Amino acid sequence: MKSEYSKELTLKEVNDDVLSASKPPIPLYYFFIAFLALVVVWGLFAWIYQVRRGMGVAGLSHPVGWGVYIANFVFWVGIAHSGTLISAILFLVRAKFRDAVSRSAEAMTIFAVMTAGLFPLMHLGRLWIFYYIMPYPNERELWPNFLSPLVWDFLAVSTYFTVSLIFWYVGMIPDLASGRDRFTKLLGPDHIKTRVYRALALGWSGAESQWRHYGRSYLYFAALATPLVISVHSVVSWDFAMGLLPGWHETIFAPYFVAGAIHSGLAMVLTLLIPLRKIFKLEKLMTIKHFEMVAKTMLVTGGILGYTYVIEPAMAFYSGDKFESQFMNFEQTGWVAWVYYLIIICNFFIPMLFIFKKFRRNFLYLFIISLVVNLGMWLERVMIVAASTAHDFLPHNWGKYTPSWVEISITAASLAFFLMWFLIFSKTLPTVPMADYKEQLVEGEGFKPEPPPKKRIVPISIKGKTKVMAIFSSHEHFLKSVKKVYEAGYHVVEAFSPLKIKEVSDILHKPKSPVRIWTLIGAILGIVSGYTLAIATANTNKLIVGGKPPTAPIPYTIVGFEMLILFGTLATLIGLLYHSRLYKKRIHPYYDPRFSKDKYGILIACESNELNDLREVVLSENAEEFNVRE
Amino acid sequence: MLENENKQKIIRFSIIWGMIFIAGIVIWIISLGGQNDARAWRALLINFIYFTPLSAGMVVWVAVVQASNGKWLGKLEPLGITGAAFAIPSVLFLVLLWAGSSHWATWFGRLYYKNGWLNNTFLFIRDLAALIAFWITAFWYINRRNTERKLFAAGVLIVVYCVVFTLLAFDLVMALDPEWKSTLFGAYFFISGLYIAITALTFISLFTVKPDADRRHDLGKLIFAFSILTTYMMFCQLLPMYYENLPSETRFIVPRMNFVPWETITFLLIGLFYLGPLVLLLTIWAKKTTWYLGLICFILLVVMWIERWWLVDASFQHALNFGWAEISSFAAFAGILGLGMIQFTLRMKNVLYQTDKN
Repeated sequence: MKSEYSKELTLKEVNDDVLSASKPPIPLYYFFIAFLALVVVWGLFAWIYQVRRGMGVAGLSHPVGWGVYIANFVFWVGIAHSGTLISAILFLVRAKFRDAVSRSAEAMTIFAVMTAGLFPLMHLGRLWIFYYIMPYPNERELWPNFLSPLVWDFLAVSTYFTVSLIFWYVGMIPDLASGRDRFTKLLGPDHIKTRVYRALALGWSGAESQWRHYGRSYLYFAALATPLVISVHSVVSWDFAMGLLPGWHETIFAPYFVAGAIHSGLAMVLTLLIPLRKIFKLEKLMTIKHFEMVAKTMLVTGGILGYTYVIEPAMAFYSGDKFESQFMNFEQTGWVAWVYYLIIICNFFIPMLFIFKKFRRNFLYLFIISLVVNLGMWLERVMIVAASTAHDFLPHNWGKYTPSWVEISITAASLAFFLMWFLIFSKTLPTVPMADYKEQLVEGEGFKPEPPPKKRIVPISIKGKTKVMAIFSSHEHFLKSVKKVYEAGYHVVEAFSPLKIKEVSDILHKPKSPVRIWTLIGAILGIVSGYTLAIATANTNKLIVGGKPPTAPIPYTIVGFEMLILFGTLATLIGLLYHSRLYKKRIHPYYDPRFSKDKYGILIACESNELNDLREVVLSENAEEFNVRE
Repeated sequence: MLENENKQKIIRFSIIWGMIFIAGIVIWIISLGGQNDARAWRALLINFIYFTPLSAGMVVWVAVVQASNGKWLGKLEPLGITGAAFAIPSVLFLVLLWAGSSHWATWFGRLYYKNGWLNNTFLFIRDLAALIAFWITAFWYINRRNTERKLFAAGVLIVVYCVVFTLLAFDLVMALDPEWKSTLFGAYFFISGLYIAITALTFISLFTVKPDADRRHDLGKLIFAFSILTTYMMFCQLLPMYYENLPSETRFIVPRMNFVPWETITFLLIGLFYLGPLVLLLTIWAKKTTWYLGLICFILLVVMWIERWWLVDASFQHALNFGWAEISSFAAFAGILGLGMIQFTLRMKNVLYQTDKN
């Protein structure tokens, strides 16, 4: 039985469908890019204007010092969340619907973090002193204050960007190799596109010795990215929850922000991918089933938001706290009340329509609801940021906030900036993870051989031996043949496949990938250096900041944690590049470009007098080719 | 012949669990009265908030796996369902707690915040109603779990679990110190409840249905994941409270983190309850090896009980008082749960082993 998500596709079709999306675009595409670029330029102009004239041109004024810029930051970081959710968490829980949408969602993550990262700079006003936040040894012995949520933010968001980029890129390597081989054939080896793909594919050949480390590393990236994605929006929420203001200082804020982030991110996935699948003719790869699962996941995140919408006023009532209840009263009946109710409708009630099949299985409904949720989540961010500051403890300190044209222009430009990057991505890189998708297709063939008893294979050196390349197009025959050849005592030098096959390594009794040691050492090194950095720098001047002692392990946990993830990921990447020899640009000498598309190969070394026996063994498993090399 | 032997075994175990239950109840009644009266009642509460999420969570886990399209439970499914055997005992224990509320409830006979939310009668009526509603939903789901509407039923059960256990957490645990509040406490309670339940399910399964290596691996991973999730829920409450240092919030943290001996317990919990599985269950070997996984589950189940004790008692006493009251009430709960699960397995075969009605 084939996987329910992709019934009638072959490996070749996956390859062709995905890669032909990057044919030269139609004029309308250029028109869109130009239009978006124009909006970006307008936003850039507004920004320059703000830098020259000062922050007064923004609508920020007493008492609201945090406005749309910070809200946009929170919103875009939130959008960035679904990418890692879909890729990492769903990878860990083996959810199959992930494969069709994960690549685009990851790309979304990268572009959304890039967009989000600009807003603290805009909010900063004097953006050229941004480097103050970086921990580096300087002659004045001034260090960032690791007790400050803004420093946690910097650490979390920059770690997130780095890890997401690595995760995205590593996931793409086998697909870049497919692209490299396709473009070499279609456009010639010297075409610019071929050269870029060749450089990016890092000499990937789909050999067993590469897949083995790759599979492990990818698992570790996913395992490290999962807690990271949760920590990032938690840290963003603590920018607010560490404050004293009613409506900000809540223990539920971290999970609430994370759920909201994933909610908006999934909505953005729907908003972008529903048109994308039509435009790039990916209907066969991205089916309604995939989108339905995204909608179902939104039921969970929407449910968590609904839970919070109930708990917050309930707790204000329960505690009888004057400030909490007056703030609740302001939200529900003051001049912001229309936003308050709109948020609840957009983020909870409307996505709850996904309970009904009718709404989950119709692209138009999915698209409209996703737009509504996007709007609702953006409004929610603005509400959280601005409402609390507008209405704090003292009545004479209460005020209003309206965004100025500069803020609106920059907000619009941020959307254009994000969409522009996404459009460029969808035309230049493979938008669907082909190798993962292919894995799903063959999984249905349901052939899982028992590894044979371990054998001692004598010829360690393959020099002077005859080498044979047997090529297969069936997954099952390939595996059976590897097993037979191994059992017959031949030396299997290498096995090539277009997708990850764990069974090959088992049959050949290859040792576990040593990448796990790299990950472990990196992670331990990271957490130790994170705590050390925070404690040591705070003890340089031994100041009591905000009533906290210089050595404050509870808040420094965040620093330690982010460094754990960052170092763990970087170490895993280094381990992967080293063990699978990806630092060498040269492709495996016996590599055949068809291996990145739909063919499997076994490279066997034997004595020349054994050739006939070997041929028999291999041909009995329907080998398509039996090529004797040298 | 074999069936006869099995029957003998079941009767033997039923008698043993039943005796544990009776002995527990008797000793607990003896420990009532005098100086330790309130403590004995609190011991009942501690075990109530330990065993109720444990048994309820076992049923909810079946729904969670089903709702996420998991099909790996196999024989673990009927085992999880047997958690429902605790339905009636849990309700009866809550009634008992109500009956004794004048001895232990901090809100008894007092008016907090000038609103009637913590009125004793209102509190127990709504909590009883919620708990009964949960168990009714659980049985409703159990009967529907092989029909076409199973995903919907599973979703409903999960939602009801979260809502009901939030209410129980706020009313029976958070309100023990009515001046203290935390919006996340309800979520902490139901997530840690699922953590307790999956650990208990794994532990019991190792003796009864004996899951294969792949299932043990999956169970180990779930314990691992839920320990991290529980830790996250703890840290999300700790950090804002520590950071802002408001008297109304730190009153929960200070007795637990700044004074020996509870401070020692806190470190024990951080080392084992919160971060234990992160180290102890990190490797594949640890998750797949039966004796090791069983040992870790046992240790976790013990520290989980300590965590419940720490949640309740640290608000009341500076010293660690552990004695017959705690042991006997634990025995009473464990006895009735064990007896219930065995009898449920025996008598409710048609409920446990339903064939797919699809």
